[in-house]
Amino acid sequence: MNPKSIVELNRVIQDTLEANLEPVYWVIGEISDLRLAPQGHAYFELVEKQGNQVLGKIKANLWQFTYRTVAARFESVTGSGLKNGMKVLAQVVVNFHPLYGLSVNVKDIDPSFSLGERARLRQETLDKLTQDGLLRLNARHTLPIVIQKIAIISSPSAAGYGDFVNQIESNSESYKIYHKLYPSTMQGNEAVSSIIASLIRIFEELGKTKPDVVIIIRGGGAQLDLDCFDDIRLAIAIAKFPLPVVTGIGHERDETIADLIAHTRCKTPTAVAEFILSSFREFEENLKLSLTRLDRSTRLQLKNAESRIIQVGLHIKSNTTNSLKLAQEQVRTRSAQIHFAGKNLVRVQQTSLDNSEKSILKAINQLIRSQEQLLNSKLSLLNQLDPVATLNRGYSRTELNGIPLGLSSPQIGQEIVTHTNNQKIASTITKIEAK
Amino acid sequence: MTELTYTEAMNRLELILSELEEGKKSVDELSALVKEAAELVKSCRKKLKSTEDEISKAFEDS
Repeated sequence: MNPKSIVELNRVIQDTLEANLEPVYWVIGEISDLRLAPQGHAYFELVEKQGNQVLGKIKANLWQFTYRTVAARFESVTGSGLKNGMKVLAQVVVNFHPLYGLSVNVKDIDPSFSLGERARLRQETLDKLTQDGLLRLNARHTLPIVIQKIAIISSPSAAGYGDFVNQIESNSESYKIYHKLYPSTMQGNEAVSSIIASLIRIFEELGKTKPDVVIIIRGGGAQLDLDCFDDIRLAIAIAKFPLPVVTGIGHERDETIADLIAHTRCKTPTAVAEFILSSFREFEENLKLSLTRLDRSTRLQLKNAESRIIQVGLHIKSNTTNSLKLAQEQVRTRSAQIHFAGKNLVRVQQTSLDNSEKSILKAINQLIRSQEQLLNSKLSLLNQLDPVATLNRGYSRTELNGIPLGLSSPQIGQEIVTHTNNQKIASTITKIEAK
Repeated sequence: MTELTYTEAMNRLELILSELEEGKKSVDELSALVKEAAELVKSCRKKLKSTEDEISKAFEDS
């Protein structure tokens, strides 16, 4: 028996390994327990799991120079840095160190494998969310017409947050937007639980703050670690949140699962701000449009009413004109009738006056004629009674003392006078005989 | 003697005629009465004529 020292044993192991192993191997493993040493080296373990059970693991290291090259390429292709839980395809050299034991020295990592792996994981997550009916659950919320109160999940130090606040506060239209920040870690291992914690806080304060929407924003950084936004726990929290969630995560590659789950997705915080402001602008536009329409329609109605009034006015005017004409016609007719009737009346009166005149003249004439006749009869009576005429006919008249003899009582011896037509004879009574 | 009205003249004439009819007056008185009566008749005639003229004249204008 010839016992070996530990170093000798390890050298034998080392020689055996070097003699039997290939110079390099491509292995698939999950990164675990990743540490970065101050010198720039990376130390971690490559693990193989089945579910949660670890089937095998091996120590791995990435020396400073290789790490820098590999990590940069990995990030530029996948958009994500190397981190725990990530499955990688690595080119390794198996190394056995007498002091540090067995490990693999990583020479290269194929980023396209991780990309595919992540896509597969992402698809799995999406399938699960679709299956559970969560994919468009948040999208069922109705956005208010104007978004006035917002709860912001972001990092207070992030440039994206500052730009966002500046943009919504100094908008040219002076729209007032109430916002409250729920500070969260937006990248790294803590991001998922931090964002979910913020969502819970918002939920707890809903009754007090009454926000219209929750917005999740971050921006800035050249290399962005977006894997947290593909996390299924965050996706479920967003999906089930009772308010619409708007994302503005700020990245170039395909949407994260958070974007797909959210009510509305914008590319950047700036775009989110613009989206919120546009709700104001649109509302104002519609308001203006409504006002214009109102104005137009009232004008139109006024115009219509005015023309109706004018028409009615014309109608009234023509009606009254007609009525006036009719009335005037009637007045004329009546006037003519009255004139005619008056004339008639006058004519009748004239006739009756004429008749009266004639009657009067006739009566007067008759009166005069009768007076004339009366006078004539008196005259003829006078002529008859005239004693001269009687005497002329040969009669005589005898008077005693100026009294006709027949009316006196003559005595013998008395003187009587006898009148003839040409003589006056005096005689003395000698004899009186009674007859 | 003042001018008698037509009616007075007629009354006087009537009186004279009745006196003449009575025949109680002397011839001289009778002659004077006849003369007066003839004058009265003439006057009455004149009055009638003038009245007729006046009436005609009054109605002419109408």
